[in-house]
Amino acid sequence: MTHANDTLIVFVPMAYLVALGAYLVRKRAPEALDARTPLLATGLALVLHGALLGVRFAMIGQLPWTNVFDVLSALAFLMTLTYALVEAASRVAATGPDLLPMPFLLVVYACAFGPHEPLGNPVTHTSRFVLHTVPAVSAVAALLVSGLYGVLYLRLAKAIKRKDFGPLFQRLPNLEILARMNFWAATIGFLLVTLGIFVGAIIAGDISGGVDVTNPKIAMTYLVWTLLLVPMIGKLTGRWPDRATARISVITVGLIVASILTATVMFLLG
Amino acid sequence: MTPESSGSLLVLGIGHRSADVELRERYALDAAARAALREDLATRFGLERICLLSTCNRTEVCLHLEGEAIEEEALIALHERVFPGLPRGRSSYEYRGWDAAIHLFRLAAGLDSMVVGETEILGQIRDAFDESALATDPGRLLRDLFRQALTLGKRVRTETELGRGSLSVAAVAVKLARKVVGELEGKRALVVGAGETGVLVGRHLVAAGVRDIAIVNRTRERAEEAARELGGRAGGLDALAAELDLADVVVGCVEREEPLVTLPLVRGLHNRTRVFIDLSVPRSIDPRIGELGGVFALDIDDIAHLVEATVAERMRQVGEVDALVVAEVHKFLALQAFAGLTPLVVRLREAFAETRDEAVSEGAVETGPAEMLTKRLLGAAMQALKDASRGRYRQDEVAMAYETFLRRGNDQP
Repeated sequence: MTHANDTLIVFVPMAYLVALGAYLVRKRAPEALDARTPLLATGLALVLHGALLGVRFAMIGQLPWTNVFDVLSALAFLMTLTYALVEAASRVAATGPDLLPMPFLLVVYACAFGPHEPLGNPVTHTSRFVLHTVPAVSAVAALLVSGLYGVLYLRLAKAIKRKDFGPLFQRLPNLEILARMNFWAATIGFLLVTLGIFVGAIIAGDISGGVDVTNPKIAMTYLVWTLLLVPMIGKLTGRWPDRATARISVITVGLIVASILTATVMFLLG
Repeated sequence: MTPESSGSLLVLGIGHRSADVELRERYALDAAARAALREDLATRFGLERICLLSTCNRTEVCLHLEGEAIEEEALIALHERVFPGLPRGRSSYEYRGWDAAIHLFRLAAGLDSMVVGETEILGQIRDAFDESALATDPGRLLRDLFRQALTLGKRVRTETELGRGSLSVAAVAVKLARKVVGELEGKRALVVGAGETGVLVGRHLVAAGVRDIAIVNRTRERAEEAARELGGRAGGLDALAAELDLADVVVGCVEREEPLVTLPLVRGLHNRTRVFIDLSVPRSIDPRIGELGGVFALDIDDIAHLVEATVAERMRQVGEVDALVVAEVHKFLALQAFAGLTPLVVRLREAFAETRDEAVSEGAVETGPAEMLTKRLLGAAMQALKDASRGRYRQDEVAMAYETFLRRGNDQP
């Protein structure tokens, strides 16, 4: 197991690099690579990454996200999986070069600076914790994807408004597709955040008699949930502008990144 | 006609390569303005052999100057009449003699269009000539020139790759709409203006699958006619606000001095993503609406930018078309040279007929064989004259003039 862990921890970032490289090559010279190659490379990276997570799960007998680095690794896996599913369903590969750098950086960061061997933690071993963290981490992945689509939407909208019909305009899918991807990912993220908050509230009630809203992480989570509630209600009324959803999803990414950085600093400070 | 600038053909114009949309809309000529200009040119300048072309991409006056070359002062006055207030040579262009013919042939070939190879220009040239021919007699030279230009335009579209799958401004407008609102199936479209361009855009929108199309026009009857063809709804300008509120895609194709789709009007609409594409010159949609959230406003010049990539692809086919243009210009010049021999041809015919009649009356030959012989001799003489006319200008000479024309930069002041 240790040997497999050692090997995969090197090969997974390399596989992500190959996948990202394939998208970038297709972006610059479409005729140089078969259209399916980038998605196949992404699939291979996901298989290797899934194997790494499986090995680390087997080594400690619990979900391998007992520290920030492993959470980031899982986030990268979920983001890439979300992207690959979106590309396979929509057959729109043009957003790969924009979406995949983030999971690539997260994987490199987690594999290079995280604990080499997974660390078990009795607190995070409980089924309630699993029920809380699985939706929470998945929600973050979905919201990061949503935020990235939000950025693409806003950039393309700005390009059209400025009448800039350059490479960005030529390469990206239309605004409607970007808005749809942005909203779907935000909706999935919102539902998962809701589930995570619900289970988290039950755990907090059992452990400390209630939710501590002064905890920065919890306050941030509630803020993200409230922000996301606005476009959800807005869409139900049918008059909610796509650009507002895009802006909100970008803001939530900002909050999530701030939250992750805070948690990392707290972890490093012990 | 000579290759020099003193030739008898003259084209004065502004086009999308030399002038931006603001300038083009300022000098666009509607039907009334064209009629007034035609009358003015006849009364003030004594010019009757004229053809006026005014599209969203260009305003041009094509003249056959009979007699000697036009004097410089007269040319300045003529320029001022056609493009008042526009300094000569700044944003406008002048072509004379061979250059004028080359320019018109390139125009008909679609080489000078915003979307290279588009076909709308052919119809516009035909309409411009028909309108001019109805108003005054354009004369043999202009008739030959336009007829041959139209023939060349058809040949380019049928014999070369340039015309295959050709993109029109209307098709590019639909592509642009798709980039904003996505696939058009299930979307609602509004076309403002029921003229030729409006109907053309409507056809493209329907072909792209729009669920609902409305056409509003100042004259409701024309809107109804267009709506019948497109399977949509028709309305007068009083229906504009209501139709705007329903539409995802709005295309303006109407000749009007003031914008119809104004900022207050659009500001009052329900909040949703909309794309407004203005194909009119002068513009019918206030460009300031693009500052509103969720509103994307694009005009005819934006279409030009969008098609640059398409143009680059089509430019690869241009060499083949250039060769066709050179051949047609050469043919036209030979035709004109032969036409210049008309008095000689008439004299020859008369002389042959007299000689034949004399020989018959003297009993030297019978009528039947005499007529046959005369016909054959006349045919041989005509052929010799035609060959001489064709040989008057060498094709490589025309090709060189064409190269020079291109090097100067067509449509550049």
